[in-house]
Amino acid sequence: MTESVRVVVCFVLFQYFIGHIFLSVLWKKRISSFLVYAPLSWIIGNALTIPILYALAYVNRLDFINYSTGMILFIAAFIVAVLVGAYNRKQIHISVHELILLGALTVFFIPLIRDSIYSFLIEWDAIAMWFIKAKAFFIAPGMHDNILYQGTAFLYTERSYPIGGPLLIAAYYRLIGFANDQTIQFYFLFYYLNSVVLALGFIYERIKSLSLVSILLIVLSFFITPLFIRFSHNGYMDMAIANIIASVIVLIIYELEDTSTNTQPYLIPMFLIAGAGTLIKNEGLPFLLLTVVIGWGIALSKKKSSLTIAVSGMALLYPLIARFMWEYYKKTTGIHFYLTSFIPGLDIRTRISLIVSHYLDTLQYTSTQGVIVILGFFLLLFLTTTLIYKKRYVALVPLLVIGGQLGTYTYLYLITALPLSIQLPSSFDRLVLQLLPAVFIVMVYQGEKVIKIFK
Amino acid sequence: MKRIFSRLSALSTLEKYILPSLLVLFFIQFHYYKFFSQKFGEIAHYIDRSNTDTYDQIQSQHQYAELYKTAKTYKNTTTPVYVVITLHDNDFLDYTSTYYLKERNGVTQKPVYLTELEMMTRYFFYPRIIPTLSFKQFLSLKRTVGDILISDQDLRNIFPPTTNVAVIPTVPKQFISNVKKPPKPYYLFQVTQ
Repeated sequence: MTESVRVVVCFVLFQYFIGHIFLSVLWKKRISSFLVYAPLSWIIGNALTIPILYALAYVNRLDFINYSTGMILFIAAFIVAVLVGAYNRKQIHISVHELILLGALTVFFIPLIRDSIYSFLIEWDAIAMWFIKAKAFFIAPGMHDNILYQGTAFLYTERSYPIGGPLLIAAYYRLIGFANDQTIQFYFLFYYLNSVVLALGFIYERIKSLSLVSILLIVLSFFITPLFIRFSHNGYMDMAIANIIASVIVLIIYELEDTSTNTQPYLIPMFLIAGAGTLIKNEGLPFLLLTVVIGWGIALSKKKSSLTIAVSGMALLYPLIARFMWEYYKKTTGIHFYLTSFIPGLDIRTRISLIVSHYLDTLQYTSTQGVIVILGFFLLLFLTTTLIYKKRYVALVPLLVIGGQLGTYTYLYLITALPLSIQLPSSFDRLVLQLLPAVFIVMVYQGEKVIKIFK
Repeated sequence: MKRIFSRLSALSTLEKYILPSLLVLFFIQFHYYKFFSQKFGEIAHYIDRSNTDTYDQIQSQHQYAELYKTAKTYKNTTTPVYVVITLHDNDFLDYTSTYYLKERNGVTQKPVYLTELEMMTRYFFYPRIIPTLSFKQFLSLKRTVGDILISDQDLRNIFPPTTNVAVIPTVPKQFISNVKKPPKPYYLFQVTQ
């Protein structure tokens, strides 16, 4: 194993460790299934790291990250993670079945894991938008004195976009002292792998009547379409957003179902994760808004919610401060953002008809998505109808996130200043990708309710 | 073993009904996944892991490998390097820069084209900024010995007979990425006289 591979493995493990430390403190009394706990730890680790990288970039001190500091932090995180793990031994439930499922998945995905380490970077947005910025933050110590953000040579890189992804990549480059755009794909593959494990853990936890074989068949059939495989490790950030949306939906479901009045253990990680979304891609902004409205809405429906709202609001500040730093930097350096008006123009009808056509085309576009999107759409429609007929309205709350997110995409297309005929075809498949893991989680959740109704 | 498969022996009614459909669905999906997984293995087998320079070994199979090598050699030098872009295709219209220019200039909108070749050049040469020349600008360019020219067409046909250029050869790649169409041809030259 080469040095760059060793470091990227440690980088991935580091995120699990700090996520685990955070969750074991927050979920002291909760017993979690390993297959759900591990992917949540991963994404929380990311959510805790990214704002720190923003702060370092803002004060121009990314040079703090190097092999030595990285190893010290890794060893410290490892020791603390082992200690809290030993202290809260009963907190994570690992069964033989879960280990079998995880082992089967790992074996199945070996070609993908290998390819993520041994393949070159080629895809358009990865190079034009994310990895060139990563190089910029590898060469410059932060946002200031950064060639990419000065002059007009790199306008095409969408400079106003959040820099969470490039900062993670640049951190890795700094750890190994070399811009290795091949091995870092292994890190990004984990957004995909964790989405699969989360789906697996969730269905295993929820639908007890299914055998391990059926669970594996369902999850793999859903997650191995060419669309997922392509975006699993090609340097795009959409799989990270997909992982974030799915993780938040799981937490919303837990919050919804917890009978105790204290919803803080769910709201805090939920806001941190959704907040990290705003630091990775702009789609994360409306998603954070939806998460806050729904998360606080559920908290308000329970008694004694004021303290919960105050504490979770504090947690929300953590990613938001990083976002404000970025916004302030953009404002002071005159970096342009491409939404000039928030009210749709006179061409609204033409735009709507174009958008609807693209939605329908995407729904039926089987060459990359397989039949999964069509099947998922109609199954979700059936499950939702059943829940409405049976007046189980609370079970529809997670669906609001998906509906809300689709609604904001539609709204953004109505007001975008960029040519719609170029933007729509190039972005639609990725919007589907961002929502698919969440759709799976919602289907399983609603499916569980409907199975109970029919029983 | 009995414990592992214990849930299989007692299939629920739900499962009995859906299992055949699930199997068919899985095999349809697996058919496509298998294509990718086999392709993925090829490049991994090609790498000689005992050699420490794995990065360059993999990069030598990149569709723009020669451009990468040229950038590696010249990005920290003062040797003039130019990108000559002669073809404008609406597929490569850079809407971000175009929109920015429209905002700055008010009404007039100047289309800005960003080809993959130019994007790759900017990426490989970063932080050095390589100027992009149109065909017209290229014709009036004063070329000196040693200049590097990266172009989207074979410039040998249009060079004045007095200028000698050496072609930096490109070799066909063994492992073309399986998720992306092959790139348009590009040419590398060095002015020799």
